[in-house]
Amino acid sequence: MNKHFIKYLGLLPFYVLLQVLVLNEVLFSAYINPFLYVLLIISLPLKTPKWFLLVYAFLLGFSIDIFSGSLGFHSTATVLIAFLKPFISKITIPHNILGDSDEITLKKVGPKSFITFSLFLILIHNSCLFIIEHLSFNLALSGKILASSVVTLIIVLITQLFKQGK
Amino acid sequence: MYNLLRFIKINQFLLLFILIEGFSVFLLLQNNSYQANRAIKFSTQYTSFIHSYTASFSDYVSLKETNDYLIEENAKLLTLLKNETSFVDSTLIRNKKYHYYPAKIINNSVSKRNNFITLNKGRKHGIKEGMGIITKQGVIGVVHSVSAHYAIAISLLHRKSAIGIQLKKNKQNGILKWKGFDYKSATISDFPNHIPVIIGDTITTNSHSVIFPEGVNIGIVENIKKNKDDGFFNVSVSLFEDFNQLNYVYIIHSDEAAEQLNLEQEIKEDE
Repeated sequence: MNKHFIKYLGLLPFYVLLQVLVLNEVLFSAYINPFLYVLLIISLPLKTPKWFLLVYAFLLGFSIDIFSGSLGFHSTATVLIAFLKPFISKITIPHNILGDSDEITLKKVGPKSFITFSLFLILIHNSCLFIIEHLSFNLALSGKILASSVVTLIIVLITQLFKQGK
Repeated sequence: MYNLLRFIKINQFLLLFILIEGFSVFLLLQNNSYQANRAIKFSTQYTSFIHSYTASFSDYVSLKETNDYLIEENAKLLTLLKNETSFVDSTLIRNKKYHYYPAKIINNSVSKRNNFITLNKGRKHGIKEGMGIITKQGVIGVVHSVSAHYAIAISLLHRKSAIGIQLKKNKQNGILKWKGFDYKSATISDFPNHIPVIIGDTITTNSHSVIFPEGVNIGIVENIKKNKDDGFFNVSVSLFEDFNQLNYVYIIHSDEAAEQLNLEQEIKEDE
């Protein structure tokens, strides 16, 4: 378990910089803003101590917030999905597939479970983030949530293919 | 006591979640306060440092566009020098009371609801809070906070930005706001319906502002919709400036404007 602590704490700055220096700069369209850093929360092993999951999610969101110049947006959304992750994994991932310290990857849990699991988390994250940012809900906003979630999911799946190649 | 400890132990995940999420929401609500500004100012020094590194990389990529932009602007200034009668029409020269500081954008966003711009000039270069930011093609924003070497500005693409504008042809005033999503257009809501406005009219800044000089071009009228409830017009304006391609800007400041502001403040205090 300690191995995972160190690995994920080391990945954190990498994903934060990737998000703020690359993904936030590339403008696909005004409606699409992918958040790849959610992948870290998705792939953390299920048996991670729960306090670590929450504290890690806060650190991740907070670092992204600092670079965006306004506090609280990303940390609120990320802590929320970290909290919901154990419940969502119960309904989407068959519980005898994973070992105690296995990370959740496309290879381990299979495409069907992985896609539904990550889509749930990404949708909740994006809805939470965009709704507190815009403080309203209308057709344009739901379009933005859907488009961003789908693009995030596609990028998450691409990273999984790279992992599978190894 | 024992029951309380047992309750905490059983629900520790939920309690920790409430604690951390509560703290996040607290940060969220603090965003406009003085303390949050201090915190952001402090972190800006470090994040801007990283952003300025990547900006220096993208500089090379956009050298060609920057050259074109400068050549175009030089040509414009040269024709102004030769043709002195056109001084009346120029934004840069007519308002002699304004100082212009050149600055480079090192971080910018257009896809969020509230967008901010980080600039590479700060207190040491004479930049202060509340100064305006323009380019030759339009209004960009207002300086929000300043550290020693960097400044953060509220972009026109922000919930709270409101810019006094007028129709170029008949000097009718209105307020320009951004409704989100599309960074190429902004909206003037509550435009009185007796004013003749047609698609293609040019919008410029008006003379009331103490931040921007009068007559800076902003955009052209793209679409006019009548509001069913109150009969006012909702005018959507296509902006001249492409906020996604911003690179160099001018920070502007006027001593006379500060004087005007002080005078107006006195009246407000008397009331």
